[in-house]
Amino acid sequence: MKLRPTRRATIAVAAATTIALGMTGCGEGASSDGAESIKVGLVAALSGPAAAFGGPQNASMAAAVERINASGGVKVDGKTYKFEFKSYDHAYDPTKAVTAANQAITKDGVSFLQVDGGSIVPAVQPVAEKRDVMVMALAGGDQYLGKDHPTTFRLYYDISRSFGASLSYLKSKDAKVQKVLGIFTDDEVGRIIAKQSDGITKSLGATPSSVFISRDATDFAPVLNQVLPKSPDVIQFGGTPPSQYAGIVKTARQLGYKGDFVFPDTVYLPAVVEAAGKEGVEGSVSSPFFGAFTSEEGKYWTDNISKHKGGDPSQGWSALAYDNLFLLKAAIEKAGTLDTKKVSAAMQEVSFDGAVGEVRYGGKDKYGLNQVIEMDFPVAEIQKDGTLKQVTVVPAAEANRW
Amino acid sequence: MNPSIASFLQMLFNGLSLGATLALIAVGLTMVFGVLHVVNFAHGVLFMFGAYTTYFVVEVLEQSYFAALVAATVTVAAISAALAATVFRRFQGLLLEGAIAGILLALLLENLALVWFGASPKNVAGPFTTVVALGGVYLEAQRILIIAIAVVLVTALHLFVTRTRHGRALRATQQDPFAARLQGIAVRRVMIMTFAIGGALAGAAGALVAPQQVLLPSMGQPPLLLAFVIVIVAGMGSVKGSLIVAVAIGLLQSAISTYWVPEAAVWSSFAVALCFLALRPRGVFGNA
Repeated sequence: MKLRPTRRATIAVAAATTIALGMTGCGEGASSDGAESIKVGLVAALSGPAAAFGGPQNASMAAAVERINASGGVKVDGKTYKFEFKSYDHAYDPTKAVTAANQAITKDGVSFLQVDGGSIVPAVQPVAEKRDVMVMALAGGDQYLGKDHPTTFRLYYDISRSFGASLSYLKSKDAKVQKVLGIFTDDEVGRIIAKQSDGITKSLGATPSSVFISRDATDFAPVLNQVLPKSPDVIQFGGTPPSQYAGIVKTARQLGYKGDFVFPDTVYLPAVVEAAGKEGVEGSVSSPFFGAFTSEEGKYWTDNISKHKGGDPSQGWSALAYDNLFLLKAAIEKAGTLDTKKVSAAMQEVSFDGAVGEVRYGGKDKYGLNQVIEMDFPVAEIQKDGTLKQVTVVPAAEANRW
Repeated sequence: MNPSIASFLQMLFNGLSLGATLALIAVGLTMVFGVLHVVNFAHGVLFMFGAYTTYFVVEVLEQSYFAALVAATVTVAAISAALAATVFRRFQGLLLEGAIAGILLALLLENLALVWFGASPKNVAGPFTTVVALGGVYLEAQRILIIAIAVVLVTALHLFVTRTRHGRALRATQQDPFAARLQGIAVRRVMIMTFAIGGALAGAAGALVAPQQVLLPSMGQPPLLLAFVIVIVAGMGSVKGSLIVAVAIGLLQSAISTYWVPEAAVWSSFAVALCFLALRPRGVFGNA
């Protein structure tokens, strides 16, 4: 075995480092025009298995930055600032995410950082908090929230409540729906969502059961062979990545599962429909449904999102990242300073009539601070032709009671 | 049928089909190491290319699945041979450099695939949708096909290696490249041929599992990790060992999913590999 560092090895390492660095900082930047800038960053999966999540967020933030800067920027104590945006790839790997966050914070001077991924946020959070950088998590789970983390916010909806909205609709349609099987990822986020979902299932008068799968799993027949004989009426996926639940849906239908599915998002819906067939997903539901946006910002987002790299009007969930930057703008202006602690305090009080509707941060009763985006939960049912149709809306106040 | 017997038979069936897929991937990986002493981290990408070639032939060109299976095998063999001729031949015997080159290639090709195919998963319609239920045991026709084709390919490989002139050249090169060269064997050609065979098997594996999964550019990573587990446990370079251990790992994963918890299936295989690295680094069948 030869392990001496030869010239080839040195060149290979240098090339690997160059490529890795090139892949880390690949942001779409809003160039400064002389005005002072407020640097916002996105650390997200722009490559790898969760790449479908990163691109739309990147586009939504770029669109918001463009719109905010074009309409006069951010006014702070008589001065005008422009947002400057840069994104970093973590490929859904916590180690890469920490490297990317360090680069964003220490090298590029980012003070407001959006982070994608429930298992990524806890890895990045200590790095950010150490340098008083505000973290805005587009992620599941809530272990990173609470009074100990006053500069962290979660702009993603509560997955267990979105499941509750879907299940309450299915129960209203068919009272016989009783056995609910949850398939969750075997990590902290999956366990938290499973626990919350079990409680919601019971409070809606149904019987929960859970099974956990590795994030690396690609063959789902062994686990489905075990759980399908128990005849679940509904299968829900918690925070399982769409790439995995698309495979589970396909295998479950091949193995003869007849019940409905509850999807936590619609990121890969066309692929899911294709995998299971239109008849295979007809009657299944998803919430929140981000349909055609009717507000002023919603129309702007729909008309302009495709102009930005990774933008897709069908990925309405990513408009949360768009709306969140307007909330940040309002918070900075309300605080009258760029001090992230003061901005975080103001962030708990501002609201914005955004693309997805009126958004604000709530959750004080549960977390001690208003740290979680509050929104209604529109529920959509998959139709015969594979499209989604909104069937009901569960108000935020009702969902918060679960 | 008694439920516990049905559960056991189901576990065996699922384990054999997983083992068959892993065997096709691991055999190519270990053959390349045996001949070139290069750990090919880009091998999982070849599996992914096999699946996407199948998608292209079936869903875009609208040809039959079996035509796609052949196309995937041939195409990926060609890609693998090209990688050998242009990149890996420079790293013969250089473990560290070869591994870094493999990682770089894997990163590059996976991200190219992301650009070409997109991040949204693709779906391939398989030739069979039949699931035969025998007393509580579900036998998917596609899994039966995977086992059958894996047996055919492995048998063909065995006959090739043991009964043909090229096969003897391959074994001679694996044993001692210098002596093989003195005997007039074109070692460089043998090396490229080995990569082509390894690629063909990985491409076939990708084509075989394509109808069972959704396709993503990163889909080669999990089976590659398990293939490394197999190669470590079997002993680097041992084809026979890789076949036996692949079936054993498939059965282990299936048994853990069936009798314990599914989430433990993957890490338990890694734990087995770690134990071997610590206690018997040459593996069960290795000579090094």
